Amino acid sequence: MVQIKTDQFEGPLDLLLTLIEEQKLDISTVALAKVTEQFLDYVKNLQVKNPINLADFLVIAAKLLVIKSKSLLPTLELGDEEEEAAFDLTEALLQYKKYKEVARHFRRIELRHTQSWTRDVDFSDRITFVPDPTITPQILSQSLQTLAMELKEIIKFPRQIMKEVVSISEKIAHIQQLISSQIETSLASLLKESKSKTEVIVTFLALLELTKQRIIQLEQTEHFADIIIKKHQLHGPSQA
Amino acid sequence: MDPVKLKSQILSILFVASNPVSIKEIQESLGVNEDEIKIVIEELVAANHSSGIILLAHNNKLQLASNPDNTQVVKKFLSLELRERLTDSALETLAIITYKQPVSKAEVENIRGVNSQYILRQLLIRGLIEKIPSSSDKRMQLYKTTLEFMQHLGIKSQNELPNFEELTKNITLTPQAPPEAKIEI
Repeated sequence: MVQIKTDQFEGPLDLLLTLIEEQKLDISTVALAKVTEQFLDYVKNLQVKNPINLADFLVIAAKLLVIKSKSLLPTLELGDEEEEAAFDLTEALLQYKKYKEVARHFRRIELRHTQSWTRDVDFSDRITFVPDPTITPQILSQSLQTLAMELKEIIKFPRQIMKEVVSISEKIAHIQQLISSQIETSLASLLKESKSKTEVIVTFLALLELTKQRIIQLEQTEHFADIIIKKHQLHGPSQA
Repeated sequence: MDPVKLKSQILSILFVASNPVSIKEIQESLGVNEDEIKIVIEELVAANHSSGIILLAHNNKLQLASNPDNTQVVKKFLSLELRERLTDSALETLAIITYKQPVSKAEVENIRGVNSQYILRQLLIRGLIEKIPSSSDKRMQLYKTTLEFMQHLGIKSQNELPNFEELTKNITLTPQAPPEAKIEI
């Protein structure tokens, strides 16, 4: 049996035409009856792979089945309307084949690579590359290498930062440890240790979290004064 | 009007208008009857092969364009790339519209046997076809090819497209041979 590749057909008529031509048959009801099975196989696949055009394929499948039944049981009475609709398929295929031929002709014209332009051609679309006359392939190659080296650095960069990042849980542990050994500390002294802006932010988030959990309490005597960090009083005596 | 003068006037109008101009618009500007204009246009189109600027005429619309014979030099001068090649389904749909125009979406789909909404929209966006309301039913849209389509294929006049019957004359239904015919062979 002929293997049909999926997704390469413009539609059911295209598929039918290909099936018939692969078997070197002319367009006829006999030929259609012969390829019905393959057509149905293809549609079965389509159900999974590309259900969007399924309806178009099913319409043709139904017609094929009428033709096939008629070819197996010539005495079968299916009603004039059904039969007529099915046998119109040869006409439809023929018409489609004609337009495919026209399309092929258009392609030949297209492949002459001739084209005309009107005055509304957009000059800004021009692709212009005017290199410095002193540029040689060597220079270009060198600057490309330099660029590659610089890019390498840039790509490495974030990886190094990642290593230095302090997680909030680490910071929380650190602050808890500090407070249990020093009884109190201050925001300013905590921030002094910070190596980066990220760490400052993490320190701050850790403090907020510890305050929320009532493990520490914060005191500030006036606006913009240093913030004193102490153990939460409820915890204080019991834990000490 | 003197045909030479009329020709000259039409060309001047088309030169300053970079967009397609309809025959009706020219008629209104010049106050000449349509037939006179059409005769002159036919002459101009016939002279396309020898001119650097050609007149594209299609669906009663006119536009001046560069001669496709000069594709290479124009391309080089403007540093342009050629338009992208059309896909098989695009060409198939254009083939139908070219010979059936003005044609409805339903008719296109009937011939192709497949939903063509998407491809029609693609062609509209690329300017290769245009929509017009149907004269019999205002709610229905019909599709036509455009001057841009001629530019894309680099054809100088509609006559360059082959006659449909001529092009497809070999595609026929072979009559079912009666059983005795086989024995004779």
